[in-house]
Amino acid sequence: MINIENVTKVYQNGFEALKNVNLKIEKNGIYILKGVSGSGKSTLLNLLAGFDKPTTGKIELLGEFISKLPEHHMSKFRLQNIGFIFQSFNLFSELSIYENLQIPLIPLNLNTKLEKELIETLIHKYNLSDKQHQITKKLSGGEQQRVAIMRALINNPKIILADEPTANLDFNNKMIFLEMIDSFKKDKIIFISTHDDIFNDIVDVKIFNINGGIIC
Amino acid sequence: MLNFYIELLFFIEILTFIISIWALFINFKLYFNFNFNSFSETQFKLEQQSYLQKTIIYLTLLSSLALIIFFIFALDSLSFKIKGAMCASGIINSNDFGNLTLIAKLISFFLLSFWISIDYFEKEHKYYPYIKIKIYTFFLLFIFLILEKFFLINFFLELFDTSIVKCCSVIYSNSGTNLFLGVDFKIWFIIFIISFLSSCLKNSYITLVFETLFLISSLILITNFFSSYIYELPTHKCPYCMLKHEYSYIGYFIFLTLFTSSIFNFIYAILGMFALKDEKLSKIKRVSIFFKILFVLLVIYFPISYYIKNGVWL
Repeated sequence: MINIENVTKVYQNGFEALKNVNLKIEKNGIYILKGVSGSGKSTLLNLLAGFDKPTTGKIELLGEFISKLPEHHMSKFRLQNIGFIFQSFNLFSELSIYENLQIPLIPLNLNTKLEKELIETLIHKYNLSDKQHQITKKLSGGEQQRVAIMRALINNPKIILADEPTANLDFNNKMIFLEMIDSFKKDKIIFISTHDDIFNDIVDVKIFNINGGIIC
Repeated sequence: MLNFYIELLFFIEILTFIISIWALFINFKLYFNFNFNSFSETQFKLEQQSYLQKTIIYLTLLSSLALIIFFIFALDSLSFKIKGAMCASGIINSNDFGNLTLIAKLISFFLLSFWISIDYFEKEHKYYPYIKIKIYTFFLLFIFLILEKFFLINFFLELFDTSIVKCCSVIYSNSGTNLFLGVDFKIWFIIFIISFLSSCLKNSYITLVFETLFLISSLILITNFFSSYIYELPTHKCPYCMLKHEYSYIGYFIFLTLFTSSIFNFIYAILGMFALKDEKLSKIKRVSIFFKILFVLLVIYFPISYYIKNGVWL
């Protein structure tokens, strides 16, 4: 389902962030990419999300060679298949929870009733019904993280990518995050880049270590 | 002889040509190295550069359209300086290169539009299926861009040695015959009507033939028939004067609707020949028909309104 072959990424300043990376993921579940800062974690995640193109190599997601997709096709693919959770959440701070969840649905042109149903089901599931019309900058870090996860899930993507998702959370919220991802790991690939050791203790997790752009 | 408009014309022409050379350079790289199945660094760079080329070509198309209009406008501005000229027609017909420049400009514009249309269809696909057609079209286009510049320079070099030219009434009205290209105007009228009515036909080859006939007959009839009604003077036959302020710039609307309609129909025909069947192709046909109807309504308005006002034909 994810197949990375001989991927190299050299930035314009000559920095080689990834060196001949090979990685294969064939089953749903949680996959952790561990490494220190500057080891190439975020670069790999950006390539998987199609935010950037590799310098050389194949990236195949769900049978599609995304490293070759033109940008507008990539956007469509991303919309249908990839959810992304950012370290700093990247929510629209002046919009409410409900509106933040509405945004990824706009290109799908769903009817209002279906859209409302999808959003409210998710908000209810993650216990934020009472705050659904509150603007997100007034939420706590943990709540903002929950909104970020809901936004990544709203299109029911097959792959969830998360870049340092626990970096801005306290211990309790980290545990809530783990519970949340654990609840949907059976039918999704969850690929998390982190240097947080909290993931070491979860069962059924495959851990890849990356160092100096090489997966070891 | 040079005035501000001519200098500006040359400046934009040179600028457009320089960026086209950049696009040509990318085109050569695409021609020799593009291999979609490769995952090499060169291939990824080429895919990115194809976007750069696309941007340059879009820019060239916009400048090309502006330059066609500005070319006529700049020549018109010279008509005050050269004896005998009343409008751009005297200047453009002062030597052989004038009309050749205009024709080369129109062909370049058509090829640019064709390239962009293929690109528009290619966007629907993930793996650049029309890259080869685009590469060859650009090579052909570049030949016309060179020809256009060559004709333009020669036109002005010869023009600077010209002291007196003919005015439009001498050029277009004094043939003393009802023939054009050896064919009677009545026949051109019939060709105009039949080719207009055949616009709805879907066969690519028939479309190509009839669109060519429609374009030629339209240009002949605009010059020799419709223009007299626009100027309301039987002896005044000219395709350029209608571009002037005195006639509310109506010529620009007439030529823009005609060329837009023709370009879209040619694109429909040629892409149809490549067996490209697409919903967007039907949309192109509809756009062409829309502009064609607009063009016909525009040109027939003048004779009809003249007849209603005066009760006679010119």
